[in-house]
Amino acid sequence: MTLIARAAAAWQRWLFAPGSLRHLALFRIGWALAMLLAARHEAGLWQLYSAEQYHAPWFGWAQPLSQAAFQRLTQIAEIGSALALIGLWPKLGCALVIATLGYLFASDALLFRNHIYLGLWMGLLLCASPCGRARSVEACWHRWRGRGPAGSAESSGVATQLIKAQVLFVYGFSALNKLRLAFLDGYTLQQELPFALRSSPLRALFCDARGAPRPVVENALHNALALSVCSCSVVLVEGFLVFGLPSRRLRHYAIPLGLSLHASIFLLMDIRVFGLLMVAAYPLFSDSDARRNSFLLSVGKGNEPLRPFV
Amino acid sequence: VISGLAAAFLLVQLAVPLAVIASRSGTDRDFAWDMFSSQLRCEKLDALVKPQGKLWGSLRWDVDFSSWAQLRRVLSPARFERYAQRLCQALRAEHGSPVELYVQSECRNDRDQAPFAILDPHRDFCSQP
Repeated sequence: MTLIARAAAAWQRWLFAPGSLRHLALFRIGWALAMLLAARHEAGLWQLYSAEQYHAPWFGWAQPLSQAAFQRLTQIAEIGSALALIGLWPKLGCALVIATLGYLFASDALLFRNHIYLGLWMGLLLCASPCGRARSVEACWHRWRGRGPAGSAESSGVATQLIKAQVLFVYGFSALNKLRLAFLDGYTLQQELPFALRSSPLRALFCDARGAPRPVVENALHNALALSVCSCSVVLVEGFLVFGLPSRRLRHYAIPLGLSLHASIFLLMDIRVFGLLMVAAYPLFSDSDARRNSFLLSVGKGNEPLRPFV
Repeated sequence: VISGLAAAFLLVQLAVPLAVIASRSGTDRDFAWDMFSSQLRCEKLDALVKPQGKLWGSLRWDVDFSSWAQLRRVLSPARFERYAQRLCQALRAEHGSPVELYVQSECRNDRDQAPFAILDPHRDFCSQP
């Protein structure tokens, strides 16, 4: 068999690897919760989107809205998130979130936020997946009526694989972008942390009543070596997650490390939506073993039978 | 069809960040999953306006932008040209005469870098390019 044929077969095996509907449902719930938080946060940002501010829309049709229209849009996003969260018409819920937050995203390039961008991509994948077939009102309804949900189990695999790939791309590029002196020597953290700590959930611990860092924090912020070690650790963890999450052997280390990374970012910088989106995808990685899920590893294996589903 | 769509999705996810990273833009790293890695800081960023026959004045950025993140994104040359077009139009209407607009900046991306001008300090953004 030629290398191209093997690659094509490996691609098909990887793409159509069966995925657990329960794990996909867990991801849907995490995504919906994250987007609900994001929509509620956006609702408080009317001033940023108002016509009085300067905007650079990605598309000509995405013009600034009136305050009433903006509020309606964010309310629809919240309703969509809630529908996806409980699994009542979850695809409609995902579509509502994509349409509403997508409009706001398209209306101003200056208000680009990575968590909204990531949420939109993930929502698109959820829309194309059987995300409501487990742990949902729909699934309960089908069970109550005494019949299983419609659709094939195989189709969940494609969306699951693409979501996993998306997460790995995000970690990979995030680490790649940080491979620069300004980040690795701690300068970026030194500049960012004083502002971030003021919005931290542990603000009272880090800052005094006037919002100034406490002396011990101030000393830490001036310790270039400590900041550099923290920065390098972030890069190492993100880089490790790219290989660790898909690997059955390394996943036991990768998941706690990933959780610690996002928990630290949440506690220091109050960034919750992005972390929630990423962590929500972790259960998907436990669907199958590393060999079957690694496209590159499986290229050289020809048509050997798949291992039993783990 | 599914296979093709999935391949296209992965290609976009791979190609878009790579293209942004390859462009080496100092102000615009969106779509590259660049989170907290670049730290553009401007110790000086003044927009100086001179209506014909009047004295130089300084523009207030906070009228049009609420945060540094917004302002930083408008500082890419192409975006600033579009912003300046709108700004100059408004200034001409306000003063009833031609105006000159210059941007003086001293920015840096890291601790040891020498400050640089993010926009051409000699360019009058209200004149025809």
